Amino acid sequence: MMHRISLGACALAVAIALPSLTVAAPRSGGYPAAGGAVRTTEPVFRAAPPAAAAPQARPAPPAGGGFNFNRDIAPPARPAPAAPPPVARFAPPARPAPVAPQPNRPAPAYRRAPNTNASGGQYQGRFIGPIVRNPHAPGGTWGWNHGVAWRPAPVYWGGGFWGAFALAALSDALLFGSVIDDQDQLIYPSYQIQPDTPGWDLLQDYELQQTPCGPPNLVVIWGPDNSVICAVPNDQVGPGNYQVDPSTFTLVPAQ
Amino acid sequence: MLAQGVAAAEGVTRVQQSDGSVQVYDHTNIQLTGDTLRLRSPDRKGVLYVESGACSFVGSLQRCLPFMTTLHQHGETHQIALEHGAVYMNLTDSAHHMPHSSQRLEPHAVLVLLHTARGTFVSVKGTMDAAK
Repeated sequence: MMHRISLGACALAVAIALPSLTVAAPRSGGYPAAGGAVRTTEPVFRAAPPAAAAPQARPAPPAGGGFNFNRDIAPPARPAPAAPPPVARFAPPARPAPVAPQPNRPAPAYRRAPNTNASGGQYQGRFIGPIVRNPHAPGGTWGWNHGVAWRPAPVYWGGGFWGAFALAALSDALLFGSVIDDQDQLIYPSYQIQPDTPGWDLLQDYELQQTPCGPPNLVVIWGPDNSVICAVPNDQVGPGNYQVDPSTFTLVPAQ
Repeated sequence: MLAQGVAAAEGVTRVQQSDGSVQVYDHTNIQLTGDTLRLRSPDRKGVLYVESGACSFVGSLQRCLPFMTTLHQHGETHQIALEHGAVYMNLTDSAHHMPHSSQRLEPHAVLVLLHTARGTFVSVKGTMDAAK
């Protein structure tokens, strides 16, 4: 099953947990003195000496107050001896694909396309229209987003347009097909998009159904940061390569 | 735009370390400038900046994806690498339900969820003290 970051469920869990946290006495030694505003769930024994209040393995609170991010700001551990870099290899989707894989096309050992702020892969610069009108998006620039400009978030696949796919958490097991660029010997991975995202809404507007990338004659949609997804063609959108115009929420075909 | 709150900040920040220990910071001051949240510790000695992108709307709530956090503390600045997270903001004057949840987000409230690259979970919930 596709790994998803269930934002709604996560939000609910935290929201519920926040008011029900166990309240303990403030730790001695370093936490803010102003009003005793910092609490900790660690057990604290008032009679014990300060040094025994926390196991040594735990990070000491900031000596001068503030937030405790000691583990996050500590220097990184010494790296292990350098190993030869792994070769990125294409792996087929973990789940059965609704469309048969492209025949006679073994998976090449190309490297992954770098995550850049470009868009369109090997078709970059060829998306010149004519625009396929979005029948449902409100008019005007950024009208679909309440007039607020949408900007990609760098540490997520597709800048977060298709969902909260943290690049650090993605793996071949999550692939939903891929697009292979033989000319540049690159692989553009694709993933199953998440509901309640701009990408999901875009497909809904065009009544498109996502399908794993790979087979020919699909609607290939290039999104922000060189992301790509594929869909089954329909009456509104024929097979071919398209680029998302985030400002108008439309598809622009490659020529 | 919200004026600087006269009442004490009501944000609650919860930091769960990778070893399971938890610190809770009541009265966190929360300010929003553009797509950046500024979270100030109750003792005013630490400030965490959370920069977000990919902001879109889920119903009436704005949801963003945080991609960079910076801690200013003790005269030093530290980048804290993020793995993923989410920021929900209610910029309206009425309460709205969180997506797929019965939980409501009050007017001008925020909910921040962060998972750092080193395994620290951070949550922040409260009303914005200022927004511009």
